[in-house]
Amino acid sequence: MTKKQIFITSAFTENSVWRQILGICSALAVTNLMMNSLIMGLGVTFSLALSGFTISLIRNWTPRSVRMMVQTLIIAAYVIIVDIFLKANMPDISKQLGPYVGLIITNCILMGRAEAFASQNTPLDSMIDGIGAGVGYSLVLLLIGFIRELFGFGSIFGIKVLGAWWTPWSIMVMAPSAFFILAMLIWIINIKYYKSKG
Amino acid sequence: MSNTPFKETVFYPVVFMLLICIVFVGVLAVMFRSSEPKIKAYQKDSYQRMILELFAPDLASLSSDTPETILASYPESYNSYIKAIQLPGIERQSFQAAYGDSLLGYCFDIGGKGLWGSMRALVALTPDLKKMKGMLIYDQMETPGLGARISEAWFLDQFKNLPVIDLNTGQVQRFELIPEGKKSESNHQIMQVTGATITTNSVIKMISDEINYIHNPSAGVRP
Repeated sequence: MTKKQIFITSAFTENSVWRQILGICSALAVTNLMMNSLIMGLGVTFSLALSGFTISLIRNWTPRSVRMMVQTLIIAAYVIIVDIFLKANMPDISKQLGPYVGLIITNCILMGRAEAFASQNTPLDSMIDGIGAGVGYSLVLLLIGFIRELFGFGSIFGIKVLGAWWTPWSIMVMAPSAFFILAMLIWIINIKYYKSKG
Repeated sequence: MSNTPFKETVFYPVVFMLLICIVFVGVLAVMFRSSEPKIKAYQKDSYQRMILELFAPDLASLSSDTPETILASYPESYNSYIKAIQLPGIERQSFQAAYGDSLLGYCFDIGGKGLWGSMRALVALTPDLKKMKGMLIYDQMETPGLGARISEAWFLDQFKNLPVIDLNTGQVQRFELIPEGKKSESNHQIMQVTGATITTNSVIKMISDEINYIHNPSAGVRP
């Protein structure tokens, strides 16, 4: 596979959220605002890219018996770096995201990509795969965040776009709305893309 | 002597894991140390803003400012109105809010145990220590979406202007929990967080214990 194919497969064709149904917990939890979705997406992309690169780099020296411990440790280290960076430079967003940044460690996408791709491919390919998976995840988060913020608050990235006439839909601010939006998104993509391709 | 390569011995995974741990812990330690001053500065700002927020409505009623402008003029407003103090016998971090010569109240840094770990809050009391002006929880480890909702405004608003001393008995007020959404019929009824009874009880216990201590410091400092 070329680098471009790796990226497209990871980001779109085999998207972690709508195709593999991974990372759902955070996709539902942080998507009430687009800024939160963007920062979460960037955090996951950073952790995916660098953990994939590092795991691949040491894959020939990693004993099989402890490989999952090593992968978890590497992922955790990069997630903690993201957490420290947010606490020091974006404290308000860090507070809003709360425990969800730390919970990137338990995001199935990271362990999934580490085990399925990074442990068997070159560092550069693993990094591209990680970026692709992160971009795919971020797109889903941003799309759900866009719908929820627009209808729930009448704004996009905190900028008011709907006037005072708009009555906010409280359901959009609450987590169940993300369930409905995500389910509809998966349904539409399945019908329009995967089913049509057979 | 065995000629087994080191990579195939039972020690190799242990040594490998140890090295990986040393490298990553080292990287994290450097990263944390270099960011620590910024994180601490933000935490101090956030803490002081919370104290100011508890007294902002009272300060606004005495001045020509609104609570929002008082908060916006931090740190000048904090330095003008809030002062760290030590009340006799009370071994809690304490603050005093005053507008000119008029004392608005005291703020205490209190702590207790939640379901999953410790929690800390700032509680503002009137000068006679008999009524709460408000409370803000600044540190807790409760479950997001359940126990962590004790930090939400609707829950904390219940403690605004809440008597903490029973005027009939002179004892610390005993609070009663009522279901979330039910209208409180008296000022000792507190709406609990649905699905987080233990956490809500922990908050009530923390307040009761600490108010009891503040009123009777001679009874001893709780651990």
